[in-house]
Amino acid sequence: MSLDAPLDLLKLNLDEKIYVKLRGARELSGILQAFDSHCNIVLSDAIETKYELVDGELKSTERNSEMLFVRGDSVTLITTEE
Amino acid sequence: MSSTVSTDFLSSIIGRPVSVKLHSGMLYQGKLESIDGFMNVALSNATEHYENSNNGLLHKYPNEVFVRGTQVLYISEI
Amino acid sequence: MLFFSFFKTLVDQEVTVELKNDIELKGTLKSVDQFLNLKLDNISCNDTDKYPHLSSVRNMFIRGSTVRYVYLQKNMVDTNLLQDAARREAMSEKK
Repeated sequence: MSLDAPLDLLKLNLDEKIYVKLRGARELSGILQAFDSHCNIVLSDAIETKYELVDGELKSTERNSEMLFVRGDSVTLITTEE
Repeated sequence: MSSTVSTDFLSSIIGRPVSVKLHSGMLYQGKLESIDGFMNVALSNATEHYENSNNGLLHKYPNEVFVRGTQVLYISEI
Repeated sequence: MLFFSFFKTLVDQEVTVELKNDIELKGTLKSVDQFLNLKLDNISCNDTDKYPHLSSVRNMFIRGSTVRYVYLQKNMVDTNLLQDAARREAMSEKK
């Protein structure tokens, strides 16, 4: 298999735990179940972390979901969990 | 495929240390592992800064990172 | 086409759609097209305090590009089948 395409990184990480950075100060981690070339993805056992400024203080809120479809246009970066 | 100035540039910097700037202002620096025609990028040993590498280091990614091409403003060799 | 086929398997199931403007809609998925536009029926909006104008909305056509997330249940998805389909899609896009 060639590793010359950046999207191959996603293929190698199917069924693995990944970390996704989204637009609007959001992050996700979960098990990668599917992706396409638009970076539409499905994660299982996903945790979303949302960062907000409330009265000048940084607050983060978490939300769990057992199966989550994420539209690719929100995605900015994907990597594997440490 | 016919080569153009831009594809020549992109293929010539594979394996080199690069900066990748996103629309959001995030700046990623690392070794360019691969790149495709959509400007999707894979970096190894990537660091994350806001706007400028003189601003504090926000994150160090031990594993390879994928950066989505539509979010990329520019790629430059360091 | 992977996610178009994926959403077709979810027709008639109850899903929650989160839009990019933070509005959340729960309803029955009635149809989907290649742009991932979605048709929802029997909508209930979780946050009618914040969006009172949605309290009387029963069905909706949602433009795909406005969607951020679709929340699903685990039992709606065959993950082995989905992973294999993703691998095949990645292969076919290569050439």
